[in-house]
Amino acid sequence: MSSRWKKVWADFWSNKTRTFLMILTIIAGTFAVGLNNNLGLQMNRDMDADFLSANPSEATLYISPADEDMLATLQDIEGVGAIEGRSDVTAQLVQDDGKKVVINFDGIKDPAEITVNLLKPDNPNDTTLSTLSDKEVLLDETAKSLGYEIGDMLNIELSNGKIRELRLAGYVHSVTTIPYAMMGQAQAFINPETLEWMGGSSEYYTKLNLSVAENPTDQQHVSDVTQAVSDRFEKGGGTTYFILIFNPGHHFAWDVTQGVIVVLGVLGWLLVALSAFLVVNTIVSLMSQHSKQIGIMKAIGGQNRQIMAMYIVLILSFGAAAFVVSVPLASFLNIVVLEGMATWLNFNVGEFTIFPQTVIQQAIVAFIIPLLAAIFPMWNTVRVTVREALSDYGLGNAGVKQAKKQTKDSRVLSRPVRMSISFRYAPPVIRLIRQVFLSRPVRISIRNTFRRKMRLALTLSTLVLAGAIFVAVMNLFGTFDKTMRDVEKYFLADINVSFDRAYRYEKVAGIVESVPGVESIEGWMMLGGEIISADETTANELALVAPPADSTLIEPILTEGRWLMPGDENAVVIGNHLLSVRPDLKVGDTIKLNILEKESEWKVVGIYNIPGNVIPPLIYVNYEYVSHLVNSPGDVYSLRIITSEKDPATVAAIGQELQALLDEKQIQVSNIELAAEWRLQQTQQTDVLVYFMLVMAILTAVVGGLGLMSTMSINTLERTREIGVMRAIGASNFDIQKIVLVEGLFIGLLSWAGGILLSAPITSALVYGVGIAIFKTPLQFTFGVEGIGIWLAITLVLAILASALPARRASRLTVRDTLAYE
Amino acid sequence: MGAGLETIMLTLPFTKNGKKPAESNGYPLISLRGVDKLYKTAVGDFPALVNVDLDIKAGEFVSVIGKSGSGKTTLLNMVTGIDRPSAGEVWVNETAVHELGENKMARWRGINLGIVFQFFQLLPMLSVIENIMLPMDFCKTFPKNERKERALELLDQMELADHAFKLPTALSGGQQQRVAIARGLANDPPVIIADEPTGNLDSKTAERVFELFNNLVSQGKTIIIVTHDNEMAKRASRVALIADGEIVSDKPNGKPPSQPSPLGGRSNFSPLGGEMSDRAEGGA
Repeated sequence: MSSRWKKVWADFWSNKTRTFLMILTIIAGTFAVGLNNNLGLQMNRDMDADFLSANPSEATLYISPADEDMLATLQDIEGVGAIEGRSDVTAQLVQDDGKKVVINFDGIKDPAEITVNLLKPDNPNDTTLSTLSDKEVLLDETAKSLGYEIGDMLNIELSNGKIRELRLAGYVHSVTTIPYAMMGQAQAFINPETLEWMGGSSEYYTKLNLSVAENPTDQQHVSDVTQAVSDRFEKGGGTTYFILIFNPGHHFAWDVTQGVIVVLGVLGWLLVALSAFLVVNTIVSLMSQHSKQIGIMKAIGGQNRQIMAMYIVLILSFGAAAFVVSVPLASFLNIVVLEGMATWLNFNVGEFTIFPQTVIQQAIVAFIIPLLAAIFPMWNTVRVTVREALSDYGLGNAGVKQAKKQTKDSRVLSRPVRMSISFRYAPPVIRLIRQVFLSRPVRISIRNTFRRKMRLALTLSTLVLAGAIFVAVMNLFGTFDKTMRDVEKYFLADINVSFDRAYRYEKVAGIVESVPGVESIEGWMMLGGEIISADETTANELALVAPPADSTLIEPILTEGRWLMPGDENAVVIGNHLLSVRPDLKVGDTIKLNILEKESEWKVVGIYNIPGNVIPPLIYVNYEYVSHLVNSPGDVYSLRIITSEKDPATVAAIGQELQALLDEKQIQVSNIELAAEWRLQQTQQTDVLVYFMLVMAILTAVVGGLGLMSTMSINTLERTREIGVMRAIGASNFDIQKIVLVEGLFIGLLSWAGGILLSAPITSALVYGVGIAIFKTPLQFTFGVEGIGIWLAITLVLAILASALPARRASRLTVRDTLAYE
Repeated sequence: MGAGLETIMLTLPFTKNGKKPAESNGYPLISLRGVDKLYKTAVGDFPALVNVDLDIKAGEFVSVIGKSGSGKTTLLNMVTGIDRPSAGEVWVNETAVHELGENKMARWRGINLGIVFQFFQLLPMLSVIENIMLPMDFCKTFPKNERKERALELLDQMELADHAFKLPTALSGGQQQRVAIARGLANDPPVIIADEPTGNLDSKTAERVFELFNNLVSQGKTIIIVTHDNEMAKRASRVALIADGEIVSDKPNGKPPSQPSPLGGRSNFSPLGGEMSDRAEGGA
């Protein structure tokens, strides 16, 4: 190795702290981009591959009973790829502790002969599915968390209160099923005989799973084919109650994961930008330290391109080290996260792949970005003449070019000195404040902060961006929380009891009221219906929700018009989800609804907004009016209960007591849902984004801290001689440390303020993007103090940590060391 | 400092391609014609050099003396191309230095000039031998496999072979300056330029550095040094006095310039080393 390259190696290896910080900085970006990119690619690939291999249905039609003959006629409709009928029963799984879980049983003849929404063995290495005998059940693998082992007996409580025992024959992987943790409902499969034994029908189907022949992701095409099937079915005398088409051709979590991948991708590249700032900062200071060496090299024959090549190789060496560490690190975490995501979102992971495009992006981040960031600072130093490079005399020359500015600064900072005369007679507290905050070392720190303006600007940029991302992510958490609270405003009850059929309100309310802890009850009605277009050619599914006119358990977010009032008769409040399919609707319009095969006209009095996916769209009407319209005054389908105590344990205990009492009174309860459980199910869907973003926010904080540490180290190194002079004139260890620490804290506080300002537009963009990607609606911008407070604490800790080592090093320098020439 | 070190006998190890040093043919090796240098400062233009004419023949050992701020270093910077004249011409070894671009200048400088600085300016992260090999690496004046051998021989001539693999910080000031001289000789340049080479050394060590320079002159090198030390300056064959940017006096030092001799192996060594030793002892 020639001495040129030995110098490069020495520059790389001799200052280990600088090298470590530089590599760590590049690793942060390379790791983040690698993880996000590869994870996104592999998730998309595996999610789709697993999903499509199950021949998924794009639409489900809930119908009046249909037999095999009818099914055969539907199979021939143009555009239908496969259609399969199923009959199901919903019951409750009674666990050993008495807790009940809603469980849906699909009747299937032979698990291996299903043609749509195929089942697979829960272990991807197995090739054969468990068979189903009478009184046996296969559980979807996402319900493994319930803790049942194969061979266990499952106690099932039917809606009529009867208990059935089923033997768990095995677990299956059903990629088209929404996981238990998210739905709060387990999916199970039994044979037709067992289904009949459970109260279902083995001869007729109650739902049709439809898979189109082509264009499965084309919503309009899927909708058209489904409508054709429904029309044919209804022509044959059947009734289609409801059609479910949700994100056809894709796994149920596709939209969420796309949103997550995009947002994380943006954050990853922001992190790369942070790293680039930091690389510039470090290179600027490195080149400043090396300017004399460069002058010498040029004096002994080194040409610009030769010297430039040396520094390019140095930068590439940092990149290579970062690349070598971050590629396997990102890959390892990729596997861990992917497996977690697969379990959580219910899809099978394929063979782990490191995608070439990921490695290319990582290489760009590790090699090209640092090089681009460093090329101008490097060139600016390399091209200086030998004379400029060698003309460094006396104490740090940072102030030489700033003579005018320093004079100005001195004027500004000399004010406290003038004030000191009056401070002599000031109260002790003021004198103490002055002593602490305006003492000379502090003033030196503040002055030092602004000496290297470009470096300060780069450090501040890094920290400000890190702070802004952190605060924005915290604000996004706050927004999620607020969104959940907004959604909860439509479901304010502590306990929601749903019945399998209508009950007289007085009867069920009387039972529920007798349970201690129940404070108040409301009886609600829910009905399926259709909105008919003005030209009466099309109809859209919807659900009517009918709270009592004086309900206190709903606080809607109105975007237009008003809410329902007592005495309103045919008034209806429509929501954003109906508007997405009927954008022509507005307040004051009269709409035609088909409720239980009876058409009626309603007047739109208001429009509400609810975030998230709601299928079918919900419209609100007065209970009093609609219950008369459907000839069921006084009947309710659900009870919304407020408890006197709000802690989850008490509410859960009340829920259990209610369950027992209603069972005893033989009331057919389909589900008892606790607000806390419901909230948990909802937040499960956003948790993945929250955790990922938290990781990214922490990474940005780390990079920001590295930036500050790098700056403080460089500043201290540059001021070695000044420190020597200060020590020579009596500065103690504490004085020297204080100067460095206060400078670090001052930069930290400046960046904190800047970060808060910048976080506003970033929060706005993040909230909008995430809202559209995940909730299908822009979320409401929230700016919380939590993020600001936490970032302040992190900034102060980072500033102290980043300055402590340079401060300690500075205080250990002796006068002899610091004033010695090279 | 051991007694042996006081007599440094310098014989240049070998030259590139057997090239001879520039010979005195009556034409100056270094020529400055009407050189002006103006520095722009906050308080107005400062004339560092005013209409300087200077000719130096091959094999001359010229001392440039003058007070601080008189323009000595600026004059050297004109010769080395480290700085450019505001007006006038600078010719070194038949090259118009004032016309060279920065990049060509670096290569030209590396091959034609050996520069020795007051504070040695060795690269601290490279070992002594690597510092000496660096100019050869940059200028590729010697084949790769010969560079180490040449560096070692130069160090041997400086009686520093034992320190070859140490870092510069492990050496004394005098030793570092000798390494710097060895580095200056690495590409076998015809001209050695030294700015206050003894300014940071004690008198004994400074004496020995001068012995080295004398020895180099005897080997045919042309040397220009800037110094504050009038006594040291008198060891040169010619002394130029500069004041306020003008050469006010330029005369031989009562001793004719050394006649260049072809560089070669030790067999070509002239017994000047002994003389130097005597002078050094006398000087002490």
